[in-house]
Amino acid sequence: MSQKVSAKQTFSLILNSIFTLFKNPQILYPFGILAFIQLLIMEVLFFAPRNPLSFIFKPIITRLKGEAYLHYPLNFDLMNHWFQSLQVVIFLFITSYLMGKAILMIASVNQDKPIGDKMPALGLRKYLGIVLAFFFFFLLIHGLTSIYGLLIHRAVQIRSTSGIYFYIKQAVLVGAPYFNLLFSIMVTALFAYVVPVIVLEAKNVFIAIGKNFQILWLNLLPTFGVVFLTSMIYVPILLIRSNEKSLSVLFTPETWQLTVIAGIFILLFIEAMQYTAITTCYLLTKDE
Amino acid sequence: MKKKFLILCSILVVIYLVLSLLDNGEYRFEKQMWRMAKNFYSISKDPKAVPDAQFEKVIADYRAMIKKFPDSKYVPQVYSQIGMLYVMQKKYDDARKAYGEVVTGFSEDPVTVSKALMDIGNTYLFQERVKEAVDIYHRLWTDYGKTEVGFMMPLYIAGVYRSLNKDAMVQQYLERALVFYQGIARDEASGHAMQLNAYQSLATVYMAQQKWEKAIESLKSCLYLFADSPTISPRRLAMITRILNTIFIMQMKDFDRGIGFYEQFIADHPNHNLDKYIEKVIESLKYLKERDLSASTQKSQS
Repeated sequence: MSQKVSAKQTFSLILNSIFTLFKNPQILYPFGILAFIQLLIMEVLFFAPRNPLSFIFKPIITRLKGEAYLHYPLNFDLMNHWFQSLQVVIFLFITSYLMGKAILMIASVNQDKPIGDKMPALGLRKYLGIVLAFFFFFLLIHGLTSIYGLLIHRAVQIRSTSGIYFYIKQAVLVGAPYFNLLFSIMVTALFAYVVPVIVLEAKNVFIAIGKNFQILWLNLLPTFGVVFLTSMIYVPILLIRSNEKSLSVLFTPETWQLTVIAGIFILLFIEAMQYTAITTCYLLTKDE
Repeated sequence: MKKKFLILCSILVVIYLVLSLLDNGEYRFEKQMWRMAKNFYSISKDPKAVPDAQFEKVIADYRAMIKKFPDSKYVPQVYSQIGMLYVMQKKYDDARKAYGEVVTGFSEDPVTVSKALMDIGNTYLFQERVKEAVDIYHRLWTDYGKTEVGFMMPLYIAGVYRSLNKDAMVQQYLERALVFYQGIARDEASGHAMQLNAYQSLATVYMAQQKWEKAIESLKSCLYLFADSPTISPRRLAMITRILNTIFIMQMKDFDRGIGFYEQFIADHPNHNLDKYIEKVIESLKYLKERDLSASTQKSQS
């Protein structure tokens, strides 16, 4: 399979990743576990204000958020707020572990090695390396969004109701979720090969970053192309989420929650495609 | 692999079902209430434009909810919304029946009953049947005087008569209010919160009677007697000082009196946790005094 795909072709990399995922659904297993963990957390948070879990959570919710959040429909706000807060922990410690395993499986498929029903072992050293790399990515994205937050703070102070400044203000405020997606795309693409290098070459995170840039330099366009095009699948979800106010008339809190759940699955599918394509690209570059 | 995914999905479904079954709370009722509230608010935006059939449908839905969840703690709230829908239709007798179901069905809960009685009284007032309204307010005052709604009744009745320009009745009820609130203020058994409310209500009565000195005395009691009580929240403190400042500035036109009052409080309560806020009030009064002085100087010069 690896001979048929060129590392320089963005579309063939994406199509190949979809083909690989459908032909080898075992690769989706780590992503499935990740979806399960996220849904389980969401489920626990959904039932947190209700009996019998309220026995543990009621005092915490009342203290941190207020009595109103124990009741419908504010319980959904609480659930999504706490779920978002937990994403950092999931990303650093669980996503990192499962992505490492997924990359090992993708590499096995690309090298025509059989992959069984069991996920391959990752090893503590590699896991810690990925956690460190993920922490670095998190800091970068957090830094960029914080800088954007300053921009939002400044934009809010613009009082113009028409003209260029008004449009700048609107672009900054309305475009916030899309700019955040762009930051995520940039960081993912810039450091796309760090995790494959750590997992497949057992290098430490600093060497992996250095090697990442060498590989990136050889595959700049396809790497950015793959990350950008696959991330575009998430735009409809962003469109729905950023129009929460106008859509809230049509949506019940439950329907709204379904879009959040759909977002989880779409994000995981995007990640599966990206990691498959990037790992394939990495292996092809290595072969060449 | 498929089997593993199936197991994971089953775990999620089982947890959902088990936790749903174990939940014996009000969640389902709250959910239905929220949906009904949407209908209620769309009607209340322009009740005149809403056909009777739609009113009846919403009322029927509310009644179905009560039938489905008769033990819910939100049942009085549902009756109250039914009553409000009848009021919007100007069907006051039906509204009173709905509120009356709360009075008879929840007689052991004085807070709930007091709110329902208030609603019944108001329906009479909407019909300009003042005597019946005041009778209900009286019942509310005598039977449920220690609830939040019953407590404010003497002042409320005075307000009703003021809106009808019946000055003699206003004065009569203000006098009765004085007796009522003085009784609660002096009664230690009422508890700090009630006593504080009583002193503040006394100030309101004195202000309505234009007895400014006595109003200041009552508010001084609020600050001095309850300075160390948790009932004096920052919000309550702000409210009390705002009323005092209104008297000092708007009625007495005496900034120095106000500044002196607060300075005395600080002198009497050194290093007290209220002092910081009181100091800010003094600063504001001094600032306003300066502005007032310069404004009057400008006026006299021109």
